[in-house]
Amino acid sequence: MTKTKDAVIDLMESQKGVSKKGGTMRLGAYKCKLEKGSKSYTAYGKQLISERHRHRYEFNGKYLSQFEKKGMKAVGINPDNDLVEVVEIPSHPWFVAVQYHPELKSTVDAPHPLFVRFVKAALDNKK
Amino acid sequence: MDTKYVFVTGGVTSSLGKGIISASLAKLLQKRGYRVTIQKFDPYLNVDPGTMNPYEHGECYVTDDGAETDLDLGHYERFLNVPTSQANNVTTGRVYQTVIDNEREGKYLGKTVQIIPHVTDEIQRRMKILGDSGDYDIVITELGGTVGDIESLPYVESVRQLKRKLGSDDSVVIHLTLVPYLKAAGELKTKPTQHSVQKLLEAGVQPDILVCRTEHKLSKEVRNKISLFCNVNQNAVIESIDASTIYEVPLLMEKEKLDRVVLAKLRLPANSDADLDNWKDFLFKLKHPKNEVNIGLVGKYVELPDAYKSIIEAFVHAGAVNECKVNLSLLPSENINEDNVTDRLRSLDGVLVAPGFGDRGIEGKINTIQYLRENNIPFFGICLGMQCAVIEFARNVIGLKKCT
Repeated sequence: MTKTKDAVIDLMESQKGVSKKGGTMRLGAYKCKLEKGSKSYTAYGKQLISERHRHRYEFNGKYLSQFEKKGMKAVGINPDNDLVEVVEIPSHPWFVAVQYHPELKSTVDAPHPLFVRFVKAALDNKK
Repeated sequence: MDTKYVFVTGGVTSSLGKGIISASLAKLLQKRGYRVTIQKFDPYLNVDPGTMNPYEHGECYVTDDGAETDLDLGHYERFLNVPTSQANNVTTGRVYQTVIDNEREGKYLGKTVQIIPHVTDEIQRRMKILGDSGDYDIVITELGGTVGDIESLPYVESVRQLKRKLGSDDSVVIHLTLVPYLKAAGELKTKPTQHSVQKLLEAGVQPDILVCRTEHKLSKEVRNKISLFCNVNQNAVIESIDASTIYEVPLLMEKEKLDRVVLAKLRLPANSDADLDNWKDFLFKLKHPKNEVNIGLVGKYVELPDAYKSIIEAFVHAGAVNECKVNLSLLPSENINEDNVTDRLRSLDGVLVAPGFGDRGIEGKINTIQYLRENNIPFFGICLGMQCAVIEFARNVIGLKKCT
């Protein structure tokens, strides 16, 4: 992405200076703590989750208060380094966005709770 | 007990579904109480699929331990519900990297480094890593590519050597082939299968079981013919007929007794039937939805659905739980703009904005999210989809017009 004044999404600190493309992203499972009462928390039914990542850019924490003031909440935070992993708009019927890849952990025996809830929300919204 | 090894090779053509057959067999063995894992050996020279184009290779699947792997590992996890790791996916690039590093470190003591034994030894070492961990009773190894490819040769040779080293009851080779139907002749043809088994035999490997992909049922005559010409038992000629969903394949393989034949070859008990009640329940819900819902998948690589394999499968799982059919529309984000966004998304009950890399199509994703946000339509953002949601909100709600 090009340099601009307000980089709300920015290259991760650990990615600066990385020039090799192979195997250098933020990869694999990391912990995430969900805020009670959020849609994600309701879906998972627990506060501490582990999900898999593959990315170089992240939400720039500097802007967090501006987002929260206007109604977009960071409801999932990595407890070790405070990275924002989940954002939601509580006033919207179902607006959930995650930095990680929930699809990688959905199985026949354990369908992923966010996909289950999203399909349910779409059903409720059916025209 | 010593770990037993199942090798799965493929002949005639690629895309026969070795991954699904391997995962189905693993599921049946798991449901009989065995601890099973599956590993994939890919013959290409990339160290991992992380840098490969999703258009060409499909999705890059990421494991808990951060390995970027082949999408077949996704099938293994979806079927078995057990996490995989870096050890479950090996490529020729990774094997060569180790061999060359060893050579530079002087570990070969001045020997000429060769495909046999140095590369094949490294392949065999990696084939046994999961088995040697003691965590598994049975390790299924899927060999990528097609028998007869130049790239596949060291792997088939490694299977030959490892089979010799393991006890005679400790390994079994399953070969997946195609039995095409010739419309003009009105019959199934076994010659491609015969030829591909000959290719394996040239490399010194006699398959124990043949799984035959076919669009029509295999008659007794066809089974007999394959058995005779390919030197396998009649009960080891397994029909794998086209299924309406990949999740039906374990049941089809159970009906063909693939798991029983494998266990008999490995001299392992197969006392009771596999307990597949949960699986059957899932399949029933999948096939008999009470409702349906229209969901859009907005992404960069939508021309090749394999690029979003795990997302598509997650919707299959989530649909079954909700007893509803998910009609997924794949929409290229590049084609969405301010003027047509309402038209494009009007008929959808919810939209997922997908992961992807690079700038291309980002504006289309942002327009999509703005429409969903303002019209109270369910939105699910993943990875880049989340980042686009943040940018959209910053631009249109907070008023940071030029943000990225």
